[in-house]
Amino acid sequence: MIVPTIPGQGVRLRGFARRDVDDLLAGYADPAVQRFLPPLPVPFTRAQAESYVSDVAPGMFAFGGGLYAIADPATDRLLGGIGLDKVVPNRGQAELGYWVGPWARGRGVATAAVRALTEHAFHTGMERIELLTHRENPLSQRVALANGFACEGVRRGVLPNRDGGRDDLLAYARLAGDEPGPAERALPDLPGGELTDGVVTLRPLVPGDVDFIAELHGLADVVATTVPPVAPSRDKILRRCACAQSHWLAGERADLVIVDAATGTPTGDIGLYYQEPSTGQAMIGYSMMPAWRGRGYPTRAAQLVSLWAFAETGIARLIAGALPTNLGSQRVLEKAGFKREAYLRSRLPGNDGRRNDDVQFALVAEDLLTEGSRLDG
Amino acid sequence: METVQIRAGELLLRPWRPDDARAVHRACQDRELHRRVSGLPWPYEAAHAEAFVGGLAPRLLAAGTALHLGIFDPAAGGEHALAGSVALNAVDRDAGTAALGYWSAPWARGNRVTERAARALLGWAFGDGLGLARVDWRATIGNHASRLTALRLGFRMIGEEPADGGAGRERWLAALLPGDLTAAGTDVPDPVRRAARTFGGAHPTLPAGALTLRPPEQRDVSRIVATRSDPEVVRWGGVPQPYTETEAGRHVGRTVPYRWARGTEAVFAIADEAGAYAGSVDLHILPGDPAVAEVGYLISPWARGRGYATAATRAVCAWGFEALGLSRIQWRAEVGNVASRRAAEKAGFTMEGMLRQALEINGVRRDCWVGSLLKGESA
Repeated sequence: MIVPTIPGQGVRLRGFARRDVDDLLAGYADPAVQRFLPPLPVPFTRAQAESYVSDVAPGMFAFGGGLYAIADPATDRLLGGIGLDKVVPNRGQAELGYWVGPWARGRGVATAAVRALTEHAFHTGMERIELLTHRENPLSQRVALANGFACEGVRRGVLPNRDGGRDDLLAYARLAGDEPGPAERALPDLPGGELTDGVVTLRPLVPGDVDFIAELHGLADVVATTVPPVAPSRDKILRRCACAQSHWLAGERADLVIVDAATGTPTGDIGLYYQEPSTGQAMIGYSMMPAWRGRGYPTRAAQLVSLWAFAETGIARLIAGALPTNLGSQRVLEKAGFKREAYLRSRLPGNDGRRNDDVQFALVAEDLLTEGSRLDG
Repeated sequence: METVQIRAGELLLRPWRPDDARAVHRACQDRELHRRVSGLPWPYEAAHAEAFVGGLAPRLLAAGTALHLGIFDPAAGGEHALAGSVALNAVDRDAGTAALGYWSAPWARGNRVTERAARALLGWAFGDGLGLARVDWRATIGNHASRLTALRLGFRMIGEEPADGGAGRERWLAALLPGDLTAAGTDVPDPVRRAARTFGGAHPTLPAGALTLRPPEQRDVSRIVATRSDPEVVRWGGVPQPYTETEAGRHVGRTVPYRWARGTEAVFAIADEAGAYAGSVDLHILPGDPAVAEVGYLISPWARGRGYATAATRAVCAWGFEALGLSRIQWRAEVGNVASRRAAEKAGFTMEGMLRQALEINGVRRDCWVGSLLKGESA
């Protein structure tokens, strides 16, 4: 079997060779690789690595797919591995998978390798390449998006994990006829990774925020303003934090922590839910820790999110609702420039089958143009 | 696969035997059963039943690829002891997956036989029985009885897929993971239950004073074209032009029945005393809240000024509160559409405010009025 060499931007795909064994062992010993490649045996022994480069990898080509080493084009050092398997010939379909060693990360190796192999596959007759990524692996989702793969949905419980459970995978796919270039993102990254007015800083929610979010959303008065008014379980909070980045990348919601800029202390959260992309309408919601209330922080946060949304996304109308009794939240929205538009009766599900009224506020781009932003809170 | 017997309360689930053929044959004479279960031959002969219980089912069981169980209620006598069938098809022990299917005998319906039997079978299959990790469910779109059973079991709807070969009927697709399986007695919210019952049945005809609300028909096509090409309707309703008999025919033959089958929207033609099309009224259930719907209406230019919109709205809302279990029916119209607002107010709607740029009509964002009618209110 002669494995073709596929050139790429800063990478070269080639067959595995005996000289790759040490780097293969180092790559497969990496915790991130082990986490997101659960079929990988742990520990992965030298004997297994030797058999992998001499037999397993070359053998993959027999099934219509293939397994390539990602090599540095200058030094030929192994940077990672990439392959196509689960080939369905009559559909012209295959599934792409890859890993990158810790020594080669942060310089676009995965993106370049995926691009090279995808284009090679399309040139050799494939019509549809799938890339299944773990929900909690935003880096891999970024690689898919950068290569113009579209997120088609979620395969629930499709991947057996190392704890005896099953994990969901997000299904990304690219067709041979798809437009070139990266996939468009409805919610782009924050410029510089955060939003700040010098008093509060908004940064994306991360998995490490679990305890803070659990405390915040366990508060009785925060639960009362949740729809429906039920405290989220620990499991739900874990998932929310773990999947926050994947929701953002999918353009569904932007979950942010409101941080006190002076001390770096998390003080609350604010979320933007892109609930109606077809009409350019999104909703915001926020909660504050009691110790940090009365300082105008949610007003500042709402203004920062609004300015970003109108400047950087296709959002044309931002809405927010408040219970009629929640005068504090209504005051925040008014101070942030939102206009009270309607009193919607029985709009929201309450407890025990009852319904709650909803005071609707909205902000449109013209509001900011006519009044200017009021970042004095 | 080993032979299994599973108990679900008073029900017994066991593999089929040759002497079950008579009862299966009788159960499968029911047209409703054939409407719900795809792939059964019609007419259903005694030989079909014999081949299934005596041949196919045991063969699949022996091969380990499918587990077909009869559901029996020993307290019921004779052939009525057969209450239904529950099966795990496409069993893949390596992948830990299977697909659930079920039917109930016509004489055993109405006491959740299939749900109870399926819950017992799934509990066994997720546990020591088969150690499955995921079970799929599929049903023809519009089979709300099966969908309701799946929802009660804890299935989560994933999406829709074309039927085999792309030419057949489209199907709903759902999946159940071990942690999703609900406890016995679990039910879905009242509006979901009522909507399933309503949309699972035929599209009804409703009296509306001197008018009638009925499904639109092909004979309405020329009047629909005239109505939806009317400048007032185009201006306020945002109907893309030109609107021809092709669009109207698709509306009658596809869009309206599809939305009814999916349970997302009920569209009625407003028929005058002579039965002729005079406009349209619809309830669209908001995605994400089955207790809230939005009402929409349009009146043919030759039928305006007679209170048709008010009468039709009253009738469709009364039906929506009852048949769909709605709590709130919302009305929105572009600011300035006074005719629509008057009709809503006369039908008892309370004006709630003005939403800026909330509607997109003919490519332009427009301010709209919003109002509502709540359960228990009337004009």
